[in-house]
Amino acid sequence: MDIMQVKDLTFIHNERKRWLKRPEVFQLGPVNLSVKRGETIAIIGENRSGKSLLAKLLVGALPADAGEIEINTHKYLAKYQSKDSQQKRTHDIRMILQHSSESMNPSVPVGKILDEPLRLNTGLSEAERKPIIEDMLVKVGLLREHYYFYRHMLSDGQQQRVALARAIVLKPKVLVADEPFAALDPSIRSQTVNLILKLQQELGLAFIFISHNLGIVRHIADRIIVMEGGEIVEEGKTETIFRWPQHTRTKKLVTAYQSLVPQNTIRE
Amino acid sequence: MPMLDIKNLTLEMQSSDGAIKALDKVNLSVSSGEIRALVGESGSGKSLIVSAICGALPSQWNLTADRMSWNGENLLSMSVQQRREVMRREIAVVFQNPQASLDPSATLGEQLEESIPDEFVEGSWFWQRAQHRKKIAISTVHKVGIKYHKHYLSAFPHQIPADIGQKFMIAMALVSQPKLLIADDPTRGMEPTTKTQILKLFTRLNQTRSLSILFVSHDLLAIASMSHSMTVLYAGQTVESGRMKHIKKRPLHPYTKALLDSAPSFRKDLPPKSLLPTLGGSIPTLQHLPIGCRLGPRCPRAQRACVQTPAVRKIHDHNYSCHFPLHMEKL
Amino acid sequence: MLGLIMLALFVVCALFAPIITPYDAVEQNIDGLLIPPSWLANGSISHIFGTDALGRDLFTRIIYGCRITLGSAFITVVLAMLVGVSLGTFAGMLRGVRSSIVNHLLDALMAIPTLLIAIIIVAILGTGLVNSMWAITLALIPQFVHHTRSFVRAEMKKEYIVASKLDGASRWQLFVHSILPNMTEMLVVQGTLALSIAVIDISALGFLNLGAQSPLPELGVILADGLDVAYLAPWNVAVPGMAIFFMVLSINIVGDGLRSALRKRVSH
Repeated sequence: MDIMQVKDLTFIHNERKRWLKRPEVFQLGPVNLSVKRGETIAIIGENRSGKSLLAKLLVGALPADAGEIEINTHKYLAKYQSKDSQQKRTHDIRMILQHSSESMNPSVPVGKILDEPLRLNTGLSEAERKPIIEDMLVKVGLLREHYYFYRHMLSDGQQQRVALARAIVLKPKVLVADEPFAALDPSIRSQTVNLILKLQQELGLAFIFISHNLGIVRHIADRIIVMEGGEIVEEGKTETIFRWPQHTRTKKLVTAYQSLVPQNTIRE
Repeated sequence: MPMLDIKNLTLEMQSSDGAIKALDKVNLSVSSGEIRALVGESGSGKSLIVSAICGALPSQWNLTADRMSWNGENLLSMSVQQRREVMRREIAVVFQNPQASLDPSATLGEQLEESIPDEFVEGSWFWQRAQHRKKIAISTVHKVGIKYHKHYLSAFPHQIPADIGQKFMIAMALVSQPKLLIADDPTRGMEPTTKTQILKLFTRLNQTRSLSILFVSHDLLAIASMSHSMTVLYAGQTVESGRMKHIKKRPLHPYTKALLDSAPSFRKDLPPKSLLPTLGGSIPTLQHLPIGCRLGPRCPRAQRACVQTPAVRKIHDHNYSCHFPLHMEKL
Repeated sequence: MLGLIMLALFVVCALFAPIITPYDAVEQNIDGLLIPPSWLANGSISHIFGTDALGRDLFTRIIYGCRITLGSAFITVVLAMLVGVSLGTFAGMLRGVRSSIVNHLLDALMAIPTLLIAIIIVAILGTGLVNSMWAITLALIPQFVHHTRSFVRAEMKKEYIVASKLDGASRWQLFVHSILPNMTEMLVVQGTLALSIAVIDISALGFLNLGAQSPLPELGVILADGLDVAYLAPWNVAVPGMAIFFMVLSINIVGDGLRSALRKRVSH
């Protein structure tokens, strides 16, 4: 049962003609995509293939040029940015960014950071919001006392958890993440992966993430989307893509990954 | 005889709470023609070790070691001049973000030619020398796999893609024909294809020129695919070191096992979307270092004896520091 | 620490002037002309700093002078800050041609020393303390606008602002909750700089007889009055001069200290 359907999402970035410079055109799409409830989808591809752009368009951080996104029976025209009041998608789809420390305001304590989405999107009073926030802190593995902490008092892993809490405090159906594990150490990465798996189970969250780490992708993704030059060039189930890649770009990525996997090392 | 031999390296810094041992009895050795991986997460002190080898630590930090020698000569007792000579000619360092290590106002060609040591340039007249420098630059750049040298050598650092940038940094390091190349997390944040290219380059250099490489990273997949041997570092202590094959097959220290577990590709039998085995807790900060074995608070096998720092024990070339290693039953 | 004590002393003088002064500021005493200060041979303790050419007690005049100089400088800065920050924020949050015009016009003004601008404005408006305050307020606005605008513009690009926008914050909410907490450091720095400039400018205008007029006991005016008798009674020049010097010094020291303390708080 589909929780999200994307139809004909298109984005054309046209740099205005400047003196002595040819206009660069980058076109994304049209993209068609469907996501089931509780499904994990990984988006892989080279740099500059449009992965981050796609993530931002899905969430509504950037306005697209055409297309429709339907989440949980709410239809959104992708032309409008998410901030316009009739287009607020905050209860349906949320995003976490790559550098968790940059997405936290250094002068605002954690409690207020988590309070903001609630304050702006629900009609709850302050007294009603505080227990929800504390609940959320415990759910992501932090302590209630972290309500009063500032960004510089938290470690990398803890900052990532705050970013996660901020994303799910409104109980969205879909979570989008742009390279969430890239900047983390291996042990923190495992903990974050486990946390996301746990939350997926509890909340039935669909998880779309961009990553270069094909090991993690192979482990947690149900489906994989390969992007190149602004288009989806291949998509399918994880094992299918890894064992029988069709498109050249996919083949390149999979062989690069396979050459690192212990079974056939470069040297031996 | 190992080229770089470090034994019981201790680095103490003074802080408001007293002396903190940022590095506690670290052992590391690199033999000729070997690729050794130095594995550790952030806060483990791996960048400190690189700085210590280069002699780039602030002077108020107290550095002591039983042995810290390069090719038999003690690095700590060398004069500044000699140390600099060693750094210039025999050891080369490649850092993380190539963009940050390059001068943004000079073209790549200029920077490369500038770093060629005078001894290698032949010619008595200055134009002959300039020509020879160019030739050396082009041949070095070819060696690292950059094909269109004309285009890239006249480009500025901000115009080149990341993989060319990192290959160029390796070229800059190779120009002085070093015997040891220290690579400080060179493939961080790179996409898989680029990463594989750089790793293949390292392997090739190691095989053709018998260049020893000290590869510092926490990317286990990359390390496992190309290193001959590995030293694992946790919060300033060496916990395990030995040949790659042995460690992969049978890690003896709980932390090494946790690191190997964090990369799901190492195990074929893991069901998809299952929880990864992890160690709870997080890496201790410098202010709150545990006494004795620093993994103590997080280790599932910890017992009272772990308050004493474990001594280094050896099984066939495989060193480990643990009171309750994995091949022994928990008492 | 020393700076804080000094500044506190000045603030106390400013606030409690009528209570601590033994004499009236403008009362002339023909019998006691040019009495030397108490540390010289023929001085008396009843006039701690001596008297001036018209028999007015210098100690009283200095204390009232602190009040007027510091007080009016403070009011000037607060006004300039309010206007400048609002203009700067508007300019920073808007994009395009409108904000550029405001910015460039005011940047051009910043190239002219504030004293000069103030003199020009006083020449138009006429002399007097109030007019000089208006003049200096206007002269100080451009720098607030400039710094606020560049700060707000840089902040708008940061990821946590994007995250807040995704949460649904409107521009005003963005400003109040996310940008303002980060602005305190910049405001403190600019405020203390502006305060020391204002103190110097007000005294300078008073000295030149363009601002506060005699017999108003403003520090610059006292200095100018003392010039006539500088050889006979040097304390008439030295004491107000030192007062101005220490006032500006203490403001700068305290500003510096505040800045380092704020910086330590935000970035560990």
